[in-house]
Amino acid sequence: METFPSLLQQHITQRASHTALRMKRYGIWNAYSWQEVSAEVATLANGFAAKGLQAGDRVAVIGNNVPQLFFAIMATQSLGAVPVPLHADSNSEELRGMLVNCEAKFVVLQDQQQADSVIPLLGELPMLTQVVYVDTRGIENYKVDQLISFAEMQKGGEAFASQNPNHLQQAVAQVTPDTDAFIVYTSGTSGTPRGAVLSHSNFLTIGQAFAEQEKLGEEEEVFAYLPLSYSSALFYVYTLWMIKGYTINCPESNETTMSDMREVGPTFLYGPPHFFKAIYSQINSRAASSKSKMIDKHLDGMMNKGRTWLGSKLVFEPIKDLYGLSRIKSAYVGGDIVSNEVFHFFRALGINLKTTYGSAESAGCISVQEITEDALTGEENVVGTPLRGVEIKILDNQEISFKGPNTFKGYYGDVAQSGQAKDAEGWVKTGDIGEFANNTLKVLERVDCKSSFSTGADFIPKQIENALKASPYIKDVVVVGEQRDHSVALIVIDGDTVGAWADMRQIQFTGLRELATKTEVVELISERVRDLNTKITQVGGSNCPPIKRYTVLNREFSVAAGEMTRSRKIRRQVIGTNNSKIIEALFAGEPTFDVTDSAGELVAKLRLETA
Amino acid sequence: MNSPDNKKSILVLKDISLSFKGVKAITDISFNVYEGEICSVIGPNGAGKSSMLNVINGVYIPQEGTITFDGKEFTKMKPHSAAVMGIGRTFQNIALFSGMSVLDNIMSGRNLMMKANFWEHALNIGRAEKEELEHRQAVEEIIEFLGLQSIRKTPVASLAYGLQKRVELGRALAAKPKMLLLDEPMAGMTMEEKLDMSCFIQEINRNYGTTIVLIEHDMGVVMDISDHVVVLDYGKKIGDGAPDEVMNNQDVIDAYLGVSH
Repeated sequence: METFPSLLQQHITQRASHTALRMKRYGIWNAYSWQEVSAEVATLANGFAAKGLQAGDRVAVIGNNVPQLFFAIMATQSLGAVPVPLHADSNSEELRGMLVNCEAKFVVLQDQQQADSVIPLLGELPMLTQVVYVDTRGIENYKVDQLISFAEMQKGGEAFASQNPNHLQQAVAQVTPDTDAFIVYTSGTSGTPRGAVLSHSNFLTIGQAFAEQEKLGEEEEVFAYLPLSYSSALFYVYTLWMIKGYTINCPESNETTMSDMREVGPTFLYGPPHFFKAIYSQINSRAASSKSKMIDKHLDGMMNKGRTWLGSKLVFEPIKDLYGLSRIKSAYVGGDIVSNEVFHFFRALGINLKTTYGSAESAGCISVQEITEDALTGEENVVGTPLRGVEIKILDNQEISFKGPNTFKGYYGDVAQSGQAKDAEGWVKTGDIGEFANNTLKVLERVDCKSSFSTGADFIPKQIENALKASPYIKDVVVVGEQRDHSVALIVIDGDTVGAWADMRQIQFTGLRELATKTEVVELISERVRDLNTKITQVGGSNCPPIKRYTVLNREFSVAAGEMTRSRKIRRQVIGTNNSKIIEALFAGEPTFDVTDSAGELVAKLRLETA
Repeated sequence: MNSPDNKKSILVLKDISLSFKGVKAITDISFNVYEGEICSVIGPNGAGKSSMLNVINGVYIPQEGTITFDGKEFTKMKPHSAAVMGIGRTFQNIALFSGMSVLDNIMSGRNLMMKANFWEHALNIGRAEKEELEHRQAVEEIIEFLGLQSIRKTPVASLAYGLQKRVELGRALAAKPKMLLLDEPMAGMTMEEKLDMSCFIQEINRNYGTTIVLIEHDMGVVMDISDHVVVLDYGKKIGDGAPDEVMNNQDVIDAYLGVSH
């Protein structure tokens, strides 16, 4: 049975000169072979050892996808220590809970932004002895004892290795499949973050099953753009990379992600629904603003009748090329429910998109959709069949639970929570409502987000929201109706696509704020709501009344205000509380709502519409 | 005057007077800029700030007074020689090549350092290729420094105003100046863009050790980032010192609140 460090050693013997990693910097893609990766990892691991890192210690890794952070993860695992990837944009407040909870001994971070978040916490973290930084810009002059640059750490490693040439090898030999491989903090749609502890075999067993089923090879090109703190990034990028030895590509910066992806042309791609939705919205709004009607015609034809040869050559292939999707063999979407229209669109475009389901507690993957390559669309809410070795059970309250080789060990330092999530037989509750029949899993909503009207009829807000979000002009929606006789909706428009739409019609605006209150824009959204209401019973169940009232918000939901998780999942309760006045005004039947700033000045007049 | 002995002056202006056909723009102004500092020249509109910058840069030649830069004294200097000596600048109105990409605009800032001749460049022979690579590397470092990677190949004309200002800063930086003159770098910017620009100015100062002289009429923005502030009003110097010293200077308060002269 393999471990991450043993796989690294295999790559050196089997594909030493094969490109393992590319990173774009100064406009050029720089490559590292497996040989070079392994050398970097070894010096760093020796550096860590020289500074006292031992098996079982935790190392927080904070930053974007840069080679050095991947080396840090591998070096930590080589010593039998446990990497804890945290989100690059986390502020001190968010980091505090996680760093205190995981009792990190080292922190490896990318640049000044993260250093500025970690340094104020040092007083509360007596265990933390080393803060290693990759990018020296701005940090060099900091006078903090714990700070050490990545280069210095590696230099220390060289000295240590010459005196202790066998230390690393011995440490690697001590790592077993049952050793802790990662602590992954769950995104927490409904609570405070908890650190799921997962072993090497948790990730590698399920990774092997996935790689075999989906026929991945060492020739894959993978684009590493998801935050490392996501369990999906650790699974779809890191684990599968270590198993197959393919090539991962790191973008130059967050802003260049889309153009870098085009240059890479990945063959294997995983993304959350909002990633695919963004591409879908862009293509649609570009097609709508193009003078040529050909694109519209072919896109329409494609959605209804399938691709034609001419359409492929003239429209679909160029579109795929524009977004770097030409070489994709299979793409995967997961982390939340993708709207059927978006899913259908990519399949019709000729991209073999499949839905997946997973969580931090399952090492990132539970099931993958089985779908024939030319099927235009799949059944709604289906997230596939369980991977080899994984069992699914639906509990009495309709909650999905699973058990398998990927079942996590428990939450770090939290026996009570672990006991609640995982029972004595190893079944783990996912917190999602779903159905499981004919070996096919469907996910409907979070357990705590099922709603019921005052009439007693149950409804699932997410299904109504997803139906609305199928519009390229709508970015987010929250539907509220708990203990009322009808539902109301808070709608956030997509600034890019609605902006392009407004430009075409020569509607002047200065930003999202103003755009959202334009009569024409409200009318555009109203059309969608009316459209949905005509088929609401299909979407929301037989007892679901239509959306009676709604408003277009003059802002997006905010991660900083806790309205969304870092992975852009909405937090219903926080949104409900933050917008309670608007929601009450909607239910009270008021025609408008005045948004004021902290000083009481009028910022915007929202129109509260009746459908 | 604020002149700590341990600091070395990089620029000494002595008794500078400048007039245009009898209209006095600058009257008897003397001040020093110390090596490695951020010096702001502030004052209400029409105070003579831009004229002062143009004198330092060699665009205007003062009728009286001497300028000493990096130990060399002169009364007449041409903009080109100012650039050769290591004085870079940006302009109040953006002066970029609007049809060219961000990369090419910044590359043009390296012009002074290119040694290969026209034919070598045209045919990409001799020194040209090696030189091109070296300069491209230097320019790419600036692009990363200023966070311009995503618009590297975008024509400048299609960029927002704040970004164009940043590109202009990049071009000035590409010439590796010892001293950088910034003419109202934050004029017309949104608050967010102003904050970004303040950060870049401080980082240039810290990372490259470049001495910075900047002109602003918005006092609030510069007080936080300046080591040294010179205040002009009606072509005369009315304040010179550390920011908090200048803030409490009665003449300066009068000039900003508008006392009749």
